[in-house]
Amino acid sequence: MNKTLFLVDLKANWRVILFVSLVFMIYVLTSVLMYDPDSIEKLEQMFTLFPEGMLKALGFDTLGTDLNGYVAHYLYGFIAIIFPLIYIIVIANKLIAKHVDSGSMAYLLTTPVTRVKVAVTQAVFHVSGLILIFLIDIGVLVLLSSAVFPGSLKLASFLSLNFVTIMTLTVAGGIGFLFSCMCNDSRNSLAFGAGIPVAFFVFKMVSEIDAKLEGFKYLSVFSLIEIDKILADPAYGLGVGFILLGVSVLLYGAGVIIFNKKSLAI
Amino acid sequence: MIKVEGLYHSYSHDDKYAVRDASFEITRGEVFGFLGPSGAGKSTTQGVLTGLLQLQKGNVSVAGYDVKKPVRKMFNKIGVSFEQSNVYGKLTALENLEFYRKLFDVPTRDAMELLEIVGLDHVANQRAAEFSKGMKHRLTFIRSMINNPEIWFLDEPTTGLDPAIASEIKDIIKREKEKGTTVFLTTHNMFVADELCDRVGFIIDGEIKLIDSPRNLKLQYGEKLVEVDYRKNGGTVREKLSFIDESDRRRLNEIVNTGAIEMMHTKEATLEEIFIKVTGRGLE
Ligand SMILES: Nc1ncnc2c1ncn2[C@@H]1O[C@H](COP(=O)(O)OP(=O)(O)OP(=O)(O)O)[C@@H](O)[C@H]1O
Ligand SMILES: [Mg+2]
Repeated sequence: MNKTLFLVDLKANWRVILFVSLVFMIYVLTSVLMYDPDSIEKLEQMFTLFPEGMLKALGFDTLGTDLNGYVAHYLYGFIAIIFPLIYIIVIANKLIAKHVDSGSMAYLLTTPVTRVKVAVTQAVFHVSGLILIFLIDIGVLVLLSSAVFPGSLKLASFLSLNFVTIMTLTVAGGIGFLFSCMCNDSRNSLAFGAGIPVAFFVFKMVSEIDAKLEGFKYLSVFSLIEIDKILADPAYGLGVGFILLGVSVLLYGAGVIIFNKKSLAI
Repeated sequence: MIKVEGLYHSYSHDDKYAVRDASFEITRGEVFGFLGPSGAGKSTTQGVLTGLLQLQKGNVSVAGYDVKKPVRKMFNKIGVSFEQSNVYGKLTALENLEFYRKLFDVPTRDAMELLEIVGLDHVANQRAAEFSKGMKHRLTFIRSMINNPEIWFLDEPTTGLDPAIASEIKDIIKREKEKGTTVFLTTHNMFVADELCDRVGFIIDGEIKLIDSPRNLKLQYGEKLVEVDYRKNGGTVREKLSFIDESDRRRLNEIVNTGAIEMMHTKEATLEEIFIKVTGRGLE
């Protein structure tokens, strides 16, 4: 880790982090403020008017009857994946491939900062930004719900759900980062590093539209965010989360190793 | 300071070499000019020497460090400016230098002082994204001297700059040379090379054809000519005579004996002419 480089990363990318956090927060706020234990049933009745496939794809098919279930289904089927995913994809490309492309990496590597240190710093920044987005938004969510509906949010299961969600995103981020390290031009880095995570996202959506398409869920890391299962059994979520953590470490690690070995176009 | 033996480099990892069997040595305090046309392999050589490109074959040592096993400390001793300048657009000129400064673990130069040297002090707090190409180039250039490098790699430091700035850059290089900095200077500008370099190496198609001092090259390859202006019948006549040619030498004697010489100077071949003579190719 190199602090100087980390701070420059922050200076260059804080806008993206802030933007994603704010958009995410709009949904966090509405999810809690819209929650009305009495009207859930009415809401569900209203939803019967919509095509079932569409509701499923958006994660609104079962809203759950308590605050946990309601917020979880409202946010973690779609919102909590797509917006952080945008951050993950854009920044993965920026942190390595774009620097190589523009030539600034060459200058960075002719200083006493080693390649491993550069790559590790960029990886740490990548994950830190993601965690920061969740910290901000989950923090607001927890504070708001404890103010409006004290004692309603079951923290253990809710945090377990967040852990799994963040870890699926670090797997996607690890893929983006790996390609950012492998490719010498940022077009290729984007093609694969963004293409694969976006494909994950699409496969998850598709698998939920219709039982016939359910098989697609095996093609997506995001299908591991099984909301009801994790809420019912936080320990299960923890287990899944740790496995994903391991996969993420491998992906980021591979990126660092590849970056350390390669010839840099100048 | 720099020792290169049998260096080969192929981007495609086959027998298509961008640099082929290059060997040379640069001693402390020397300014070594690496000259050749576009695509000759100059930047590739610098890339290997600075550890950006993997050393595939050959031995290279820079500042006493074997490039095969790069050590962080080596980078405290070298300064590098590549062909393409690069600065962080989101940072100001001053922040760019301060950022870079913090990456070294040796005493560094004062950022403001460096900006003054190239006349960028008045825009020190302006974001580099708003700079012109020449300004970015100057910023990149001074950034490469921030760690007081013992060895300074400069790839095309004057190319594409307006003459005034180019000459300013030349003066800075001269001053650093006087301080004892070793310089590896890549260029295809023969005048720059002639003015700055103790020795030059001609590289073409990845091969170094010849290494010598500009002076020796001129003595060896330049046809030694003398230009004489002398008075004759109330006017001035100019004649160009070769030292090598027997009849020319006799003619020169005759003119000298008339005592009517107004001006006489030797004309030497330019490095460019010598380059063409040696390699059979021009520099553009
Ligand atoms: N990244 C790269 N990938 C593949 N081939 C390359 C790459 N960079 C350079 N080459 C090739 O290697 C050879 C040498 O290129 P190099 O950049 O070293 O030349 P140069 O002498 O610096 O030329 P110039 O004066 O134009 O800067 C050229 O044939 C070039 O096409
Ligand atoms: Mg070049």
